[in-house]
Amino acid sequence: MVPGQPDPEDEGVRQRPRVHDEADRRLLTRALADAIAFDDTAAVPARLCQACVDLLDITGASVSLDGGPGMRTLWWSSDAVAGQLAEAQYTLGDGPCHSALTLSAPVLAEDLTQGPDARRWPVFALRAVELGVRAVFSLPLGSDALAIGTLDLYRHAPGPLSARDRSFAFPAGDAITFALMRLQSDALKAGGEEEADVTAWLDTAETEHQEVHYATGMLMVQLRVDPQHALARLRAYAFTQGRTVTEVAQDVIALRVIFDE
Amino acid sequence: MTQRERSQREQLLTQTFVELADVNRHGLEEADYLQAMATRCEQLLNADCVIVFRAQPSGPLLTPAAVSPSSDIPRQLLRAACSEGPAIDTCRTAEPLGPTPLSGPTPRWPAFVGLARAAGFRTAAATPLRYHSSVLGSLLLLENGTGSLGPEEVRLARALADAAASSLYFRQQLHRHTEESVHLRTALVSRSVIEQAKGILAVQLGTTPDEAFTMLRAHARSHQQRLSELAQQVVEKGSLPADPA
Repeated sequence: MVPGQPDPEDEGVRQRPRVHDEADRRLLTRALADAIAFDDTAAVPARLCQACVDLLDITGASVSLDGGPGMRTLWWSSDAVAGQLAEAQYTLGDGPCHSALTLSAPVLAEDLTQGPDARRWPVFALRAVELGVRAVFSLPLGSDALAIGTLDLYRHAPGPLSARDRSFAFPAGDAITFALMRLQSDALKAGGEEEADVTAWLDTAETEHQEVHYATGMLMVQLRVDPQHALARLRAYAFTQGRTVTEVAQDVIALRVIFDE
Repeated sequence: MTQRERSQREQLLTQTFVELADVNRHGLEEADYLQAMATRCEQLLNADCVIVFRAQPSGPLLTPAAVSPSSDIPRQLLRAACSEGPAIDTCRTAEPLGPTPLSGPTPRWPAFVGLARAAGFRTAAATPLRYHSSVLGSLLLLENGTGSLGPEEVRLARALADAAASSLYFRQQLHRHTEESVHLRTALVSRSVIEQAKGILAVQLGTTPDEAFTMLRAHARSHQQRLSELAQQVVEKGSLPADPA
């Protein structure tokens, strides 16, 4: 998809395809119901995401939460590649999930080796292809008014997300949104005096990028810059070294890397 | 009713249903939406007074939300109708209550009937603001003895109330959803900012991350401040706020 150029695929997405086939509808309903009927509410978003991997023509999936620039938490990933894709986008500050959040609309990239998708995120596309990924689909979570994260799907083989798969993925995304909201509102209801308790549910996140935020704080003092600038320096360094921003942050914390003003 | 009057009434009806369905026409001000509803109901229902009540999120009582413009309702009557009478009964049963005379030796609602009669009303009817199993409030119709409030009016009131209830329900859901999204983002942001503040203090004071956190928390406690607020200050100022001497 090229900005400014209407994408026929995207139009279809905005209309939210319906599940037409009765057997498919039952399958979807059962998968969602199974994922939700679970004592451990913190595990529900992950189970919904796993249901997507099981039911759709995709290789893997992940769920990320977003609090604004640089504040991105990987909640769950189905496999290492899904996690690496999320980390690559976090390091670059670019990629389909960032586009999906900015646009508050689904972003479907069906072939990262060539054509508009490869041109849209050239660096991310290269990294994704290195990881063996050919197609990525990023669906925003939350409401139209405020996106709280993304459901990211990937596939080794190129090709669009079929109408059937889209009709599964969207309700699954809504269910994930509600499951995450429930975690947060349960925490608020139970909320003790300590704020740490209120946000304790975030402890189960896979990668919270806490090292990155800590290292950002260190660089703010060392370089006398604001948080955005400090994070940009970390990212730029990671990019030139061909490493992830988390790895670089760990080096900064261990004083293996020292930035000059 | 002449052909012309009938066609005007149909137009008004259609317009009313369109208005009631449009959740965002009045922005997020629910009071304006309910006031517009009361005004339209008065025009359409031949009632001398239309009062919209909202159910309170917890507890059995109602709150008056809007009164149709041409009626002058004593405050006492409004208050009484919140805890006794057709408005609250229709919420309990979740079914409309047809035109009921406000008279008889042993009235069903002694306090409400007394005050309503004193204000000149002779007949009352009510219908719930209901969306599936959620009762969001009710509509109370009062008439001062002209006999204009019949079953036909109550049926129409019910249809209008149903349209309004579904709009209100979705407005409420959207509001809750947005609020929860904001909370969730706030939770993510505060955790990130606390980490940044730890990094700042650790470099400045030459401490370990754990020591920096202990210091941050101790400062927040002794100043009765939220940890996230203090962390935000540290990130903005570049250091712990100085103690007032």
